[in-house]
Amino acid sequence: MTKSYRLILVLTMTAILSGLLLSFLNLHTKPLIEAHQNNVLKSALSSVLPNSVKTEEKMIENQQFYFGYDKQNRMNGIAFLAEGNGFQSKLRILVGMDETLTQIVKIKILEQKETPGLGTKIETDPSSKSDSEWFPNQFDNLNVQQSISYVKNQEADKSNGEIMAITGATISSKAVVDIINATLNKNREIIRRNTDLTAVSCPAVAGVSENVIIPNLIAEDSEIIVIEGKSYYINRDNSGKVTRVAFTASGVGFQSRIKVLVCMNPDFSEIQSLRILEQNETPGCGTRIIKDIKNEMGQEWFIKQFNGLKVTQPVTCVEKSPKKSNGEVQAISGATVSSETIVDILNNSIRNYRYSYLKQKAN
Amino acid sequence: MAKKITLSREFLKGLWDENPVLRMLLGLCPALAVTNSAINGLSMGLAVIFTLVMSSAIISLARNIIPKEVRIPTFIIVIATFVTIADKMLAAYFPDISKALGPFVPLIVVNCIILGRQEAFASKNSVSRAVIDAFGMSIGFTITLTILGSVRELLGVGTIFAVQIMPDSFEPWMVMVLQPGAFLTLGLMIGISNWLNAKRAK
Repeated sequence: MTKSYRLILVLTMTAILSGLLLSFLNLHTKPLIEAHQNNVLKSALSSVLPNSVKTEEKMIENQQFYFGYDKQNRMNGIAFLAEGNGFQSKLRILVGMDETLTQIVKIKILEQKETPGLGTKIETDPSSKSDSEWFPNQFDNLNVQQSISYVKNQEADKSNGEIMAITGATISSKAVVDIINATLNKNREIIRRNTDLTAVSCPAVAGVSENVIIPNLIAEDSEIIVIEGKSYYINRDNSGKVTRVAFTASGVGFQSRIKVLVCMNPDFSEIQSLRILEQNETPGCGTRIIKDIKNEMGQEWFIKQFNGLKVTQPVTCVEKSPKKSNGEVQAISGATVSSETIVDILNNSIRNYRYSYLKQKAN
Repeated sequence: MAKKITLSREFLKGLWDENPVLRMLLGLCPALAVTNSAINGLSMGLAVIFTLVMSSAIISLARNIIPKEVRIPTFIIVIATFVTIADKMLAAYFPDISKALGPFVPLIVVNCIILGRQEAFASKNSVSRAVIDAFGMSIGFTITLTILGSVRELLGVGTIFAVQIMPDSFEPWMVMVLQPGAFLTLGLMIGISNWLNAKRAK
């Protein structure tokens, strides 16, 4: 009997001592480990959102988002974690994107335990003489309006969302692409459903229309309403009748993203005015969508064409002598692609915004 | 113990005559799994040195208190405690190494070298002998793992401790950093050590 007591006593004492020791150790190391993890995340965040001076963490529908803000406190980027299985290990990737989720700014592989020397090249490739991080760097400024795809043994077409897979680690490369694609699609939906007035949103349809809050461009008396994830800026007259509905939309022009503010009649039949908020087209050619110095019709003739334009039918772009009553506008010669982009943005976004707005109004 | 050998021989036996990996073929799991680079082999070895020396000291101190019937569970608790300490300390102070070693640090708990030394040596010898034996064994283990990792890294990547050794024209033998490379290298190392022993015995 005394023998059994001794067995129990010794084992119990050993376990208690060990437990005590480990709890003290945990008290000491836990803050250090957490601080280290925070540092890793912080430095990764600043590398994937290089233009943001401040980041804010937000949980939306159980998904962690990091919103980046510039000096004027405007949101200029969104980052999120993408996780999934690689060839033999779990991959955790931090993806930094622009505020509309149409372009990747940079990605960072936070965690991977792929095959040493092969799959690990998704993070670093020590055998590459020029750039040991050539694989993750391929994602820099990658256009993701369509899903990312990968090619093997040939030059990747970056404008088409292509990246080059690693020879000998196709599965790991494919896993990175698949994980980013899947997470991006899911997160676009989440952001779209949760557009609130402080944050910003993303393409509603095929990367064409979008909604971004731009307070300084909207008259002070306009109110913002959100219908089905789309933001509308509403102006009313003294009797409370709606006089103007405005929204923003964007698309990819000849070489840059073009973002416009569209002001419409409340019944969405006619454009009141159009304003280009953002573009970086070819100087002297595409830039004439905002300012055409040489034209005798005035510097802003292109944009002015849209004032009072009826949009009950789709707008079309013609080379010369447009009939405004038919919804035609004249393209800028030498900048047809930029002109057509604006028309496309309008057609897509108006249809989309009109539908949600009128449906809401009918209810 | 029939006859006591000198303390220095106690230490040296772990390096060669009873080298845990090459002569006793113990602890092969970490020896094969983590040695794809020299630094991984070395840091695994250092973690084992810490764990083995500390556990041997404690077990040897408590060898007259621990009843025979519960000695194995007691050893395991003591070892697990020190492994957890090593794991947490690595994560807190050397996060990169901790990341590279991954799950193999926690797995030191079931490393047969450590439990084997407690059972065969520390529980039967004085503290000073147990500690010296632990140092010898774990340093032998560390040296073997570092050599194994260096050979694999040299042939598989062309570097040792991330320092470029091979000329640029050298095409790395990828297989050496993969699992087969571990078996090939360890097999050759055991072969060489046996050959040397046989030569010495003549």
